[in-house]
Amino acid sequence: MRGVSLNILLAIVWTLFVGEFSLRELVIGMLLGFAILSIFPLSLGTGNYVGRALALVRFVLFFARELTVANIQVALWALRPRPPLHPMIIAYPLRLRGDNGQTVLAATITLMPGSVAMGFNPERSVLYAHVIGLESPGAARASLKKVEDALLPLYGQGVAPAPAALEENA
Amino acid sequence: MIIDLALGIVTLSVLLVTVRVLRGLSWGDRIMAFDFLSVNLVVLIALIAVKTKLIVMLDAALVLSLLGFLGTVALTRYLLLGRVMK
Amino acid sequence: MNDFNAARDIPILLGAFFVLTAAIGLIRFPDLYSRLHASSKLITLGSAGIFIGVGLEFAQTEALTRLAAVLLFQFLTTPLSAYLIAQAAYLRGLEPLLEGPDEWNALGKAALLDERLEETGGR
Repeated sequence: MRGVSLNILLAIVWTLFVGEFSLRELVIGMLLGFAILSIFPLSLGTGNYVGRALALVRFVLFFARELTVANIQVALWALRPRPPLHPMIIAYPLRLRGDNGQTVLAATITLMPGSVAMGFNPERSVLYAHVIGLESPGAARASLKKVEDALLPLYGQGVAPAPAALEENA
Repeated sequence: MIIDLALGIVTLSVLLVTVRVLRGLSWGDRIMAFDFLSVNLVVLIALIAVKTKLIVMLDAALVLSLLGFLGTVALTRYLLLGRVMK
Repeated sequence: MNDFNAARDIPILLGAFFVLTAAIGLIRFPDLYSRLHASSKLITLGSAGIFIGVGLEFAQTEALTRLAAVLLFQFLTTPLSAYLIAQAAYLRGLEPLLEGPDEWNALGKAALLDERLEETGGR
């Protein structure tokens, strides 16, 4: 939180320097402020803000690419005569803990190639997803694991206490 | 020109999905098609805003997208729980 | 209006194409859960393309802020409504057409339905 507010403050200071308050100058100010925060993380006490912001950017790029792939894939299936759907419902043991991370994960895999989130178990430790276009449950779990790996740096504080036990199932 | 073409394509998809609403095989299909229709109407209004050069139309699109989601939530709650509110 | 403006027209045409394929998928796919794939993924990118094209056409702050709000809202709500529809239909017993395993067993299904009903004190 401290990192975000410092970054916005630096952006406003930059627009005051330039003397022109516009969206363009604010964006430039945000980028300059981000550069300053990434050079002085210790003296400004912003902790892991830079790392998390970079993880967010990486996740957004990953998401955009996967969304495009998913759209082209489903569009081709909708247009070809006999689509190889091969539908199944799989259970995916979650490593993410906490409502925010799990909500983002469920929303993300719904927009990913081949999977739609259907529900959690009452303990919120397993995600159920409907999968099409993949051969085996193992391949589907591997594709969900890729998404979870991209999300873990963002919501990593709540990782499950014993991930080793869950890995065996996955 | 392109806007007219896009309007025609989106209208065609609205007509196709209306078939799914009328002849849905299950309740879930009808709710899904209804949700899809509300998004399609938002898109149509955005295209009409370009055609008529009225920015006010985009406000209507914003409100309609909110209402469409609310309708979907209410319908699925009714399907799942048998009631919408407590 | 007659001149071809690539930056505006290509997103709009791509978006309209995706919306149309979503409708075709909705008609052609075999069961509700497969149709949800078509409606949730294709409508998100399709409407995003159209909104981006419309925003480039107007290129004014009033229009851009509203379009950004609609776009963000679409990205937030489309997966949510797909999740809600799939869960409600599955828990209320609409059988999916499967060629693979169904790992959401009957026990977990009943427990989740009970929990959902308890939340609202339903029947």
